[in-house]
Formats: sequence, structure tokens, C-alpha cells
Amino acid sequence: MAGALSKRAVLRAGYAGVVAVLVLSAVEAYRIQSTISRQHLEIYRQFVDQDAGLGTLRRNLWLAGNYVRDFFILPTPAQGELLHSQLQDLKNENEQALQHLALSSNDAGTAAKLRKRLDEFWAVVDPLPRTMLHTTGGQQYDFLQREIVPRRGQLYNAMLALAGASQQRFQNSQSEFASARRQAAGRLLMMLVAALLLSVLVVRLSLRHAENLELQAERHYAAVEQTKGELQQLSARLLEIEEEGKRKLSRELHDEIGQTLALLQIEISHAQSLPEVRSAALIGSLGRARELAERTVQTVRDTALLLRPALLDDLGLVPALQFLLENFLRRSRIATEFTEEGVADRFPDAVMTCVYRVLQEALHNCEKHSGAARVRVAVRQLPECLLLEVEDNGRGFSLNANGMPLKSSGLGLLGSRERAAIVGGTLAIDSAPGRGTRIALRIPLPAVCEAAA
Amino acid sequence: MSVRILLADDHTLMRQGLRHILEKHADFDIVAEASSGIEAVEAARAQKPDVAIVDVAMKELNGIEAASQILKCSPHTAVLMLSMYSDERYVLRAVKAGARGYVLKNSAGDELISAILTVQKGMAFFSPAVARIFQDGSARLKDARETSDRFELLTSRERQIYQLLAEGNSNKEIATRLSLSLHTVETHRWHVMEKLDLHSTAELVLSAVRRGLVT
Repeated sequence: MAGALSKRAVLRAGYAGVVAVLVLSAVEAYRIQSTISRQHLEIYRQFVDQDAGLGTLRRNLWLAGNYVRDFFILPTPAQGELLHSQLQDLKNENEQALQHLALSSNDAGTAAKLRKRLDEFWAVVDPLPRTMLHTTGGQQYDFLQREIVPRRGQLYNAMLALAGASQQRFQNSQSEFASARRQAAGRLLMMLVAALLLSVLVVRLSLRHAENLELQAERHYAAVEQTKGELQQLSARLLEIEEEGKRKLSRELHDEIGQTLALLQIEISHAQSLPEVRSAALIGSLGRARELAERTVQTVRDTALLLRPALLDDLGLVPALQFLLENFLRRSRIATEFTEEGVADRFPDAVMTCVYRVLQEALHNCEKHSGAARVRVAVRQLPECLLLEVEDNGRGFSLNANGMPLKSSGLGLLGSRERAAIVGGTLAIDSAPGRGTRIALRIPLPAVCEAAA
Repeated sequence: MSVRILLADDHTLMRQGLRHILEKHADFDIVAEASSGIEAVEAARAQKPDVAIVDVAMKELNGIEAASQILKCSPHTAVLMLSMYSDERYVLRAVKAGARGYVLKNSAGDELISAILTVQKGMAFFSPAVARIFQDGSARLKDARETSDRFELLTSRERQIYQLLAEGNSNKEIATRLSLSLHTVETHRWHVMEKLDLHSTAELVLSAVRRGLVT
């Protein structure tokens, strides 16, 4: 029992484990999925931001070049003012973009280099509105070639470097992200494999447990069946012993005591007839003694008959049944009808005893419990079986699923059924409250022949 | 002329007691004793006794079986059944087996001698206690197949002859008494036996006792 309990506990834990691993896997899968998409989004956003920042810088550099060129076309103080304010706007915008870039960029060196170049560029461009007023085309051209173009080129290169780094970083994070995803997928797969293994284990354990239970149930069933068989044999043997005891006792009573008493009566009547016996007192005394013996013989005979009628052994089945019915009729005053069809005198002892005792039990029930006014008894010998039917019009009773009376008073009928089973026969009981009772004993004749052999 | 008797009973004391009674009678000669049905049949075959006193319940071969076998091997023997039982079924079986008389053991002291003398003369003898049982119809079973009494089938003349036969009269005595020819009496007798389904004088007497016509 304790073993079964712990087994059940293990199985329960196993089921819980499988469910837990599955739930964990689901949670992990969700977590991985959400983390990955978040990271992915972040990296992409950074890349786009950087790209946008660089684009702004590039555009502004180009605009700055254009504004300078425009100023050179008409280098008046008014135009210088305009250029100054235009450059200031671009510078501010650039400052914002740069800050943004520095924030979003992990490559501080490249960003710093870019800033340095940019600062150098502005250092050259900023004083222009003042220094280059009223200059000539040649000077301007020189200036552009000498100061602006190279710096602008350098700046482009720095920006290109930054973009390259950003691109690289994007690619790096892409591959990092891919490997993280691979790892996560691997982890998930392992968890699923673990869940699968665990569930296979649990299923195997469950199956083995179920098999064990089934085996146990089978063993129990076999044991119960065997016990049932043994009980049946035992009860058959018990009935046999009881019957044999009754027969012996009956014979003993009748043959030894009964006959001796009869002999006593003979002797007394002989004594009474002797010529020497003349005294009236003696004759009277002998008469009383004889009467006493007579009464005792009667008692002994009745007792012997009650135990087991000699008729059954001396005359056979039908006379014994008639005797039983006549006694029943005399005692109970219940109208009794008897039909006999083609029944042989002799059957194997067990069969005769069975029929006799079954009828006895049926009549006993009829007298004690049924309140019947009429009972009909029929015994028939058919080619294949011997049939005894007892039918009364009494109050009847309810039957259980085994076709036996619900109340415990049916113990006698249970005994009758046992007796029937011993000779290979069956006992059918048909009854319902208020509908009377019909009992049918059927003993197959091949069994009768086998028993006789 | 003495009566040759076979005495069969498996109860030794009882056999001795009966022998004791019989020996008192000078005309009786116990030619054989048997303690079982088989021994009784053997003895009857060997001795051909006039009367066989046979206990109903004996081991090996019971008295009723023994009676019919005795009659087969010694047809002139009058079988007198001896029994502890007054149950009519025993009596009927005994009569069917051919027994001419039926005596209860406990009244054997008074009745055995007269029973032997009666059956030896070819008449039937039943202990009065047995006859009483036959008359007491109150506790008799109602046999579902038994038709109304066959006695109703007899004509009044047949009933008269039935009664006289049961009382132990011979055909000749009846013929004289009723002023009929012997042949007529025999015909009537045959009709009675036929209608009542009887096969021997003993059965006829028994049926009359049962109907309360004779005691």
C-alpha cells in the first residue's frame, strides 16, 4: 500500500514536472521573442538616426559651400551679414545633429575626429563675412581651392568613416542578434527535449504502474475465483457429510433402537399370552409397558423419518416425495397438488437427495413465510433432464440480481442452489411480492448417468 | 402337514425373536434363515418354502425386490412382508411385488401366526394398523392426474362380487351364495380386475381396504 502510494506520488510529480517544463518553455519562448524584437528595433532605430544625422551634416556642408559661393558672387557687407546668419543656422543645426550622433554612436573616436574636422571647417568659414569683403574672383577661387575644398573633402571622409563604422556596428549587432537568437532557440529546443524525455519517462512509469495494477487485479480475481471454488467444494462436502450423518443416525435409530423396541413389544405380547400370567395387575402392567414401547417406537420412527426418510433409500424418489407432501399437507393444511410424469424409481443417491431436500426446503418456506393457500408440485423426467417445480400462490418476495430473495431468510434457498450445483443442476426462483413463488430445479440427465457410473 | 417357512431379516435379534414365536407352533418348520435379500432369494430357490417371511428393509437387496425374485424362482411360495413401516407406499410396493400379506413388526407377536396361516391358505393378510391407514383418506395427496374413483365404473353386480372377493371368498363360494354359474362369477371378476386395473387378489383386497369396503 505504501509502495503504491509513493509510486502514485512519483507519477504525480512527473506529470507536474512535464507541465512545468512546458510552461517554462512557453514563457521562455515568449521572452526570447519579445527581447529579440526589442533589440532588433533598437539597433535599427540607431542606424536610422545615425544615417539621418550624417545626412543632415552632409546637406549642411553642401549648403555651406553654396552659401559661401553665393557670398563670393557679391561680397558686400550686407551679403556678409546674410552669410553669417545662414552659417550660424547651419552650425546650430549641425551641433544638434552632432550631439545626436555622439549619443547614438558608440564609436567615440570617429565622432570626435568628425567634430574636430567640423570645428576646423567652421573656423575657416566663420570669419569669411569679415575677411573676404570686397575680394576679387581670383582671391576667392584661391581661397575656395586652398581652404574650403580640402576641408570639405576631409569632412566627407570623416563622415564616411562614421557611416562605415555605423554600418559595421549594425552588421555586428545583426550577427550578434542572430547568434543570440540561435542560442535562445537552442535553449528552447533543449527545454522541449527535456519535456519530451520527461513525459516519455512519466508515460513509461504510468504504463508500468497500470500494468502492475492490472496484474494485481488479475491475481486478486484468480485468488477470489479459487477461493470461491474451494468454498463451493467445501460446502458440497459439508452437505455430503451432513447427509451421510443424517442417514447413519436415521438408520441407527430405526434399525437398532426401533427394531429392538419392536422386539420388546413382541416379547411383551408373548408374555401376556403365557398361561402362567393370570394376575390382572400383571396383565395391566404388561399392557402399559407395551403401550410405552409402542409410543417410543413411534417417536424413534418419526425422528428417523425427519432426519432422512427410509423411503428414499428403500422405495425411491417419488414415494419419498409423496411422503414429504403428505406430511406437509397434514401439518400445514395447505391444499397440495402433486403431479408425477415418467419418473424412474432410482437415481444416483446425490440426485435423489438433492430433489428431496430442495422440495423439503421449498415446502418449509411455503409453510413458514408464504401464507399460501395452495401449492402445486410437479416432478417430471424428460429425455434430457429431471425437473422439479414447486409453485405456490403466497405473498412472494423480491429477488436480487442473482435471482435470490432479498431478505436473509433466503439462506435455505441458497443451500438449495448449492445442492443443485453439486449434481450439475440449476435452481431457478421466480417470485415477486404478491405474485407467489415458483421454484424450478433442473438436473440434466447426462450428469445423472455420469454420477451413476 | 407342517408349514415350511423361510425367515429373512437382517436384524439378528429380531430374527431370533421371531423364530422364538414360530417355534411355539408345532405345525411350523423353519427351513431356512437369511440375513439379507440375496440370501433370502438363494434360500427360497433351494428350499421352495410354503411361506417366506421377508423384512422390507434389508441391506444389499431390499425385501421388496427380494420378494419379487423369490416369487420368480419359487412361484408357489406365499410372501409375507414384515416391516417397521405402516406407510401405504411400502404396502403398495410390497403388493405390487407379489406379497400376499403385510405385517408390522411391533404387532408381530399377536398377528404373525394368524398371518402365516391366512396367506398359506392363499388369502391376503394385512395388519389392522395398515388397513386403518388405507381408510384414512383425509391426509391423502390430491394427485392431479388421478381421475375420479374407478369404483364408479363398476356395475352393482360387479361391486357385490368385488366386496365378496375382498372378504376372502373363493369364486366357488360366491357362485353358490349368489346362485350364479362359476363361469359368470369368473367373468365378473375379470371385469372388476380390468376396470380397477388390478393384477392379483392381494391388490384387489388392498384396493377394497383402501375404499373402506372391508376392514
